[in-house]
Amino acid sequence: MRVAIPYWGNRISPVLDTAENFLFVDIQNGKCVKKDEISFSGKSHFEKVDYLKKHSVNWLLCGAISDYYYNLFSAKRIKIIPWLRGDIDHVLEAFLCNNLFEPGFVMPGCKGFGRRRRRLRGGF
Amino acid sequence: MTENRKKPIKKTKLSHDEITAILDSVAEGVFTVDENWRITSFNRAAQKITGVPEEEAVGSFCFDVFKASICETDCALRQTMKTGKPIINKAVYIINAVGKKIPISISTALLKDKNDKIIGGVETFRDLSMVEQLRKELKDRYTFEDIVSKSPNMKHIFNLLPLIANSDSTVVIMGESGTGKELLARAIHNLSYRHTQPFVIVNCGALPDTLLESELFGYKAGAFTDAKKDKPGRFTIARNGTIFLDEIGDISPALQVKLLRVLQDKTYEPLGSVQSYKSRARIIAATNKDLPQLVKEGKFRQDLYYRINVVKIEIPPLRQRREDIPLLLEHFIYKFNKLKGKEVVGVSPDVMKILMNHNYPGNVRELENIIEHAFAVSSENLIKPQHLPEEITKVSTRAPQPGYNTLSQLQKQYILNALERNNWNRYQTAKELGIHKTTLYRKIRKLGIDFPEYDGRSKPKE
Repeated sequence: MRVAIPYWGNRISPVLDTAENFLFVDIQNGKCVKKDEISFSGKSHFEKVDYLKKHSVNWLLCGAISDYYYNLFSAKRIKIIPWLRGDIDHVLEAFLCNNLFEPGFVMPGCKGFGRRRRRLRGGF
Repeated sequence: MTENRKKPIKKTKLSHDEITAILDSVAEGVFTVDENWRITSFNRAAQKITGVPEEEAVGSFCFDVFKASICETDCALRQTMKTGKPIINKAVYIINAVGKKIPISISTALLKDKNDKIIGGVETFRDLSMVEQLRKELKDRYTFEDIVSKSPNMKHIFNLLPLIANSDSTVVIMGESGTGKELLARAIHNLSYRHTQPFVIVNCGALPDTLLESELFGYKAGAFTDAKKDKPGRFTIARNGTIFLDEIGDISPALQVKLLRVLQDKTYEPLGSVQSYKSRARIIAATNKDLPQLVKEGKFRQDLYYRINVVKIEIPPLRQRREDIPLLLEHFIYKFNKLKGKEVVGVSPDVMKILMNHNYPGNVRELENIIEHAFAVSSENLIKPQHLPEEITKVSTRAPQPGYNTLSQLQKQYILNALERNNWNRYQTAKELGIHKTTLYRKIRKLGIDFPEYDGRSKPKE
């Protein structure tokens, strides 16, 4: 399973739409086995989405995401967990333990991932 | 002289509550941050624009609350803190708590204590949604982002659109009236490298044949009586842009031949001209008619049909993607709230039922008109059945459409429609619906959907 996380410093990017750097994490048996940093500087949104799809990303963990971007990624069947905040290592750890619903990981004002929460049911 | 002398104003120290009350009465969003980018105050307008309550905002990092396009790369407050210079009216956008992009203009300044020591920054921002909406209405600046849909059929179009936009192929968009053919054509144009060039619309059904020819190709002075000077045609005006030929199914056979030549040789001749001109515009055609049927009936040239039918996009009518109705409702209510300065929060459950059951012969445009009508006749903040046009409520009460009183009924109808579209092939249907085949089987059994004797899987009986 491959997870993509847009990052900024050591934190998750606040806005996916404008994020330029992504961390690709390969997960096997509940453990991170490989991490790659990808820069999307100057790339269009379609190039970003296509790149993630071509590189078999299954999950996208991100901060704020516009409806437009949400549709683009979900049209490519990439599962999205939006409205996340915090240190990327902590977010990744919480994802592996299925603890992302803890209030500390959810952006202010975005209670329980809002209308998108149901997409998370059943875990991964 | 002494009377004009100003009396010294006695400075009174305001309490925290008084400062909060003042900030809350301001129409602009205001927040302050400390040196660690943690929010220290967040006024009422800021809460309204961002959708984040004060108790959750205060103490959080400003970028996790504000979620602006510039947070990561070009933070205005960071610049002000670094240079000491304020930034005034910088246009950016934020993403609010429900995923909507809100255009805003921001201004920043330093916060200093009484000893002139910097203790943080202050940012004020104005919601520009209304200005942006008006700009879009006036300049028809609608883009790919303005297409509202979550339907699987439309998602397929979303996937194709960037690829189509990047190619130079002729596109034909088919769909009933009001489905958004022009919006889609505009989106293709805006996504393509031609977006800086003109987007020219020609409604082929609105003009008589001779007028349409001169409109498309232009004419030379003296071509006919009163043609006193040259008139450029739409192909000339479009230059390297896009020409959108709406209602292409309505053009006469004679003009079809001329259009065929433009498509084949990329050349055209204005009326009265002996010289051919090169056309570099991309052609996007649209029709609400069944072109293959018109070809069969001999009303539309087969060679022209194949020339324009390089890339075909079919927009499904609204009745085939009812799941988009709540989403579109939300979109139109937001739009008209901004345009008309109202604060309508939504529709009543009765209205939702009526709108979900309506057949929409006029498609998305009809739904938009229904909401605009409700905005015009109502002063309440909830749209109720009495605010809907009479013909909608009449149809609904006189001849009820297949009712969707429950979610399972709606699901059943939706799956049935999808099965019919896919000739009862379960695998294809599951693929279209974006669910696993087994989930579809389970739903079919649970919802009691009966299969016809012949379906997409079984072989026809000998």
